[in-house]
Amino acid sequence: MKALLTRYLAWLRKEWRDQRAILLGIAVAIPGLTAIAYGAFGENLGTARLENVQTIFLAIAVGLVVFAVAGDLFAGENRRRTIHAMRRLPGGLGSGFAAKLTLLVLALVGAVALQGLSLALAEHWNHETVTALGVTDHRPAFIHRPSAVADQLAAFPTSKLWLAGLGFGVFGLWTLLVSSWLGRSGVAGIGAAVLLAALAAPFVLLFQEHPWFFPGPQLAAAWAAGAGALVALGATALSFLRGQRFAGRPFRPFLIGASALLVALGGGYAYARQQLDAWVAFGPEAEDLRIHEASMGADGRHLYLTVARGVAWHEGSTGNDSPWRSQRGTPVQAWVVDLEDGSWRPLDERKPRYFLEVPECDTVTAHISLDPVEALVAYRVDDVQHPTLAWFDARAGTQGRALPFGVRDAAALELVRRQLKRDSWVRDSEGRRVWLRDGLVEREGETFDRPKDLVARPETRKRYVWMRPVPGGWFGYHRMKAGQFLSYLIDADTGEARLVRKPRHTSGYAHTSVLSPRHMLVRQVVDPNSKDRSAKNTRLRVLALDETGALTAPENEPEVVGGVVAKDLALALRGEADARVVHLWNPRTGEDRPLRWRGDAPAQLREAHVHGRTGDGRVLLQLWRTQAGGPGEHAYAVIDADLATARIVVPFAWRHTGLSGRKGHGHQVIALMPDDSVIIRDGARRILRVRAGGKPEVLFPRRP
Amino acid sequence: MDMQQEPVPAIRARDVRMRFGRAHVLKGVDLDVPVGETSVLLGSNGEGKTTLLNLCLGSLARTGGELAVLGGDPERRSRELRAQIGYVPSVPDAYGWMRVGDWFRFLRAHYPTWSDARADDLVERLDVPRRTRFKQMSRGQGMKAMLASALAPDPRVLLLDEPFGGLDPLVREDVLRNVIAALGDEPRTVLMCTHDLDVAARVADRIAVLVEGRIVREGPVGDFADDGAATPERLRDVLAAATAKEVA
Repeated sequence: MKALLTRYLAWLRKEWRDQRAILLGIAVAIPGLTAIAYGAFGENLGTARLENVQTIFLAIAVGLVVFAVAGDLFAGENRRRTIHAMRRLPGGLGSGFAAKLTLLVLALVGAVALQGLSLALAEHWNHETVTALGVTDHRPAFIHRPSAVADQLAAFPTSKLWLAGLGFGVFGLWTLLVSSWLGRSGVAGIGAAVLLAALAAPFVLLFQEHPWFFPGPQLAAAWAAGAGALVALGATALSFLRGQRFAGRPFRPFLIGASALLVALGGGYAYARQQLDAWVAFGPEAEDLRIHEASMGADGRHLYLTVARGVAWHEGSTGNDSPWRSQRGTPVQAWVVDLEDGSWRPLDERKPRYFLEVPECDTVTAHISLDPVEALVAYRVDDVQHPTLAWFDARAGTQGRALPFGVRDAAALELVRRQLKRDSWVRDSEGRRVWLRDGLVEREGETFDRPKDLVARPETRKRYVWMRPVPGGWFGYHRMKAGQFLSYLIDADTGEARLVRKPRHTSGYAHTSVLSPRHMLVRQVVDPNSKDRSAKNTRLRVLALDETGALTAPENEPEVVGGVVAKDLALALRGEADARVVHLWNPRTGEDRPLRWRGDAPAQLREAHVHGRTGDGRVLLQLWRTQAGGPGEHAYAVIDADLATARIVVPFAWRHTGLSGRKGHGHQVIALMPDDSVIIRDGARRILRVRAGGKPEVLFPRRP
Repeated sequence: MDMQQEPVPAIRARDVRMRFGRAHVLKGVDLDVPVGETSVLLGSNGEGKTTLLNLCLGSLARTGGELAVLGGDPERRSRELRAQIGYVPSVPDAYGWMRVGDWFRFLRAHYPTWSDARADDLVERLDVPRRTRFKQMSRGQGMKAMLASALAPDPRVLLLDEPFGGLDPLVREDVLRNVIAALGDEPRTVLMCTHDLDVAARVADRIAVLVEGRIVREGPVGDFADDGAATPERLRDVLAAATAKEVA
């Protein structure tokens, strides 16, 4: 062992002496170039993003080492014809290899450290100088930079920079590999770049095809760098130690190294492909299956699911889902489940990367529609910028034409109308169903012009940012500058929109509930997310939606208001917390009727609010209670506003987790069926049908 | 391995073949280099002398045949055998920036039997300049330095590859005298390849003639002389006759 160490140190000394002049040159060049750059472009560099500046200088420093040292370590032995001495000395090749590698690593680390120190000093000097000139008042990026040398040094090793440094370092190793094949050090860096590009191409293509397979871009980059470093090291060791073992075979290092690369990367490609295929192909039994969206078809037979394994890539790519970013996931797939036999199939067997949604048409986006769906569109997730939409008739269970985004043909438009008509609960004064289609009022019984074959979708969102159905019309608002909103009310009879002047509030959350096209209930409540999760009214007013804009105090004010159930009829909760009683209350007249419960009345009731509606006028209430010392539980009830009766259709059993249903936790009501049974997504993987007083029936997953 | 009790030769080659691409350099070499003797491999340029030496050193992989150096296969036991072999290349292959001291310090780590005292003694006797870098040395100085570094570990086998090639006559004579003196210190197995008949006549115990990739004649130096003493002229005749015979 001692002999081995002695030999290694002898080679290390020799390598240092071999490269000493170049290394000293680099040591002078790094601070020199930094000083020159800051001297010439100080203010520009000072106002650029610090991380970018650091990355550029890091690249220069590491690049100097890579091109000047890494390329020469092996190729230099050939050029100087000293390779024979390495070969003939006992243990010369192995010790020399280890020493060369050590020197390269030390040089890289040293260059990074020296560059960090040089940058810190330059930044400090630059900050002092330019600040003294007083020209940076309008440059917050500059002013907020760390100026002290210690702070600069602390800011240097950010995660992005380490990745950049790692990448450059790995490139150095590949340069080392190529230099072990070539007798010319000058082209080793270029050769390494070409080789890396060629070898990485399949992985890049694979990554583009499966970005969701990798657990976060930074982690994936770190893995790739690590794997690249190992492969380069292994191939270099084989190329040099085996390839240079015997003289007289100039191509042997290349042949051995290339063969090693072929085996390693070929195996890597095959393994990655196999892993990806196994990962992407999954069924209902997959443990990490997550149902992202679920819709019940209008035929009552088909269930339409958007599922993924792990975290769907579109979630991981957003910055809002940080807890999920480090996890991998598959692309979402659209599945059609036949409830008659429990079988399921992907929407497209060949490339099942679709995301199923109810088509967007103003009214359906702004309230929770609990009707089974008439129409669905399947977005191709591969092309988010220009998704192709496959239209789906959820009543017939048939797939329609695939159209580009923003285009509907006559069949698609008909599907949209059917969907809007089905789940619209807004009625005009004659009792006809009325709905908004792309900003236009359409009503039941009207004859619509047959549209042209292809109809461009109008940009309605510019006119009505957010529309939701209210008794007698639609209420919406348009966001203005500085957080100001312009509120509109569209009358279902006339189709005219008029501006609504809402009163200002000074504190707390303000909720507005349109009672009718003439009146609005304005509620100012305390934070519902407070510790005791209570939502008491602090101020209730009835606002006249006419020119007067009169505000009047309501009659017979309750403790809690849970939304508007029907025209001039709000949901009111009276009594103490955990023992409240649900009433139907007219805020203008003060008329008040307690709900009569068909079946058991909810006990320990704390809150109730309107959860969603069906087009035929049924309202689903969500009831909430807190068990002493335990978690909250939800129940659901269907209410008949005319008779002032209600019936619990989903008993208190589903816990409130505080996470949105989109994450696959908790539960989500998918549909309220005509027989008042409720389709619920329970947790991440199950779809249930729950009937009043009955046992939940598992709809999915189910063995066919 | 005690060579005194082992009658086997230090180097034994049987049907050793070597080719580089399509060029067959060695076509079946049979050669024994006895322990403690100096064998000279005679041959013209390009006959494969250096190739055979490199095979013995384990720096080349033979195409076929059997080769044993000190009883071991140099391809398989290269590190162990190289530690017991001294090698003088035809051109000094030390790093140009090194002085003799640097080179010795570098080599010392590779040879367990390295002796600084012996190295210093050799440097003195061979008159190797201590303060001159290899890149500034003359050819003769470089070769003497290489000879000193090859002998410093007291190797059991010494391989000399055309050590006098390219030297002017005066320097050649100086180096040759030094070599003869150094080799005469103690019995050592030496295989030297050369095409210099004068050198062969002065240092060889045994001579082997390599022609067209084969050993065409081999034996004690006395076999190459009518009166028991080999001369360059006699060797030239032998070499010419062997070459003509082989070609014919």
